Amino acid sequence: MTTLEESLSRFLDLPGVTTVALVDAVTGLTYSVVGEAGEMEDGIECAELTTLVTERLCEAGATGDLESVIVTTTSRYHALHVMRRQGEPLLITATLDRQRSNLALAVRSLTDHAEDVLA
Amino acid sequence: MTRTKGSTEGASRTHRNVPALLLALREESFTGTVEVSGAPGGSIHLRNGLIAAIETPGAPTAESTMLRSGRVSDEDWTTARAEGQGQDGRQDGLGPVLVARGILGAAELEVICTAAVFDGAFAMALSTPGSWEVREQVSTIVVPTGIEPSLVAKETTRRLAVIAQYFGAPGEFARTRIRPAPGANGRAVPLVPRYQALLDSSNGRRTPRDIAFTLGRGIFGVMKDLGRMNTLGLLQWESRAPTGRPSTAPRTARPSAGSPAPDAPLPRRVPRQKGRGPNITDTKANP
Repeated sequence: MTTLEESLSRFLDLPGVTTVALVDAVTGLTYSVVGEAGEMEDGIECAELTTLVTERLCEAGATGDLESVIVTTTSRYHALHVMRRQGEPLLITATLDRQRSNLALAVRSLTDHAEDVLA
Repeated sequence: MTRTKGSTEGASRTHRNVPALLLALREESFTGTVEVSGAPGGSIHLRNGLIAAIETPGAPTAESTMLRSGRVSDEDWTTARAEGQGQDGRQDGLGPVLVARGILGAAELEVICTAAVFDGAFAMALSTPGSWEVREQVSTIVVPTGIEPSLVAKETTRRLAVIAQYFGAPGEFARTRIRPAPGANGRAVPLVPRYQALLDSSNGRRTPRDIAFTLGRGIFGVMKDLGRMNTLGLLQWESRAPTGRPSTAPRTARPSAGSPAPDAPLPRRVPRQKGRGPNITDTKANP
């Protein structure tokens, strides 16, 4: 297991979190994925979605930088958290089983510990 | 050891291009460097057949990303490099030394180096390489686990297709000078901060490559954002109108009204004469 995988695996300890990935928010390159395979693994689509939301929110007059995108489906929650840094921003994407998870807790944890992923 | 394109030695003899060579060297679990000449050209560092680093003048390297952003100081870099390359000058200890000294996180090192490999591969793919040589290993900052050459080739192909969607020939786009479209800076609604930074850097003199180096970003990310900004009507290219998709016009040469007839002699500069200003004229006007 690489350092990056170990680092991301911390989020899997949160209740209901099934998959976590670190993705380049511009290029869509997936640096690392941990957890269950086959869920929200396409970093390119996650990056495209975030770019679209960022553009449209700006056009709509939203103020402040985009922090996260939360999408809910009937079975899952999907959280995309933006990490700003020098160079390209990064995304931490997390998939949660909504029967077992606490979305607010997961989002709070992503926000508080995103910077620790690269430490 | 040096193996040159066209030489009879080893696996480097038969492949048609650099990706094919890299796949052959993957089979050999080769450790060393593939030096590619051309514009921009560059060095592909292999460890056990996997791509560990790519350094090219066409894209910011891991080194320039770290130093330019101030993430690592020049002094720390120099010291860590001296320590990391070992007594034989061939060890890849620079990254581990930076991590061991607490200058950089191991995960951050992995991210920066991985991004630089894919961005460097994209930059090198923007033009056709001249020739290539397989050489011995040299010390550099490497992706700890290495990346499969096939994965890099696949992603590079995808990236070229993404840019071609926006502009046509990606190599040409990389060399085109960009400027803001009229009115782009006076919008009522604020721009995405990333786009605004690109707009501020687009001064009509810089190419996408120049902008990437200025902002410390990857060249593919910059070109992709610029393509997106073009579709939003924020940019214009120097000397040609922006196009949302590749041109399908017939490729016949058509002389423009302002250009001289093809058989006219080229303008020639004549030596300055006493009492006259600079004179650029055609040969017919020569005294």
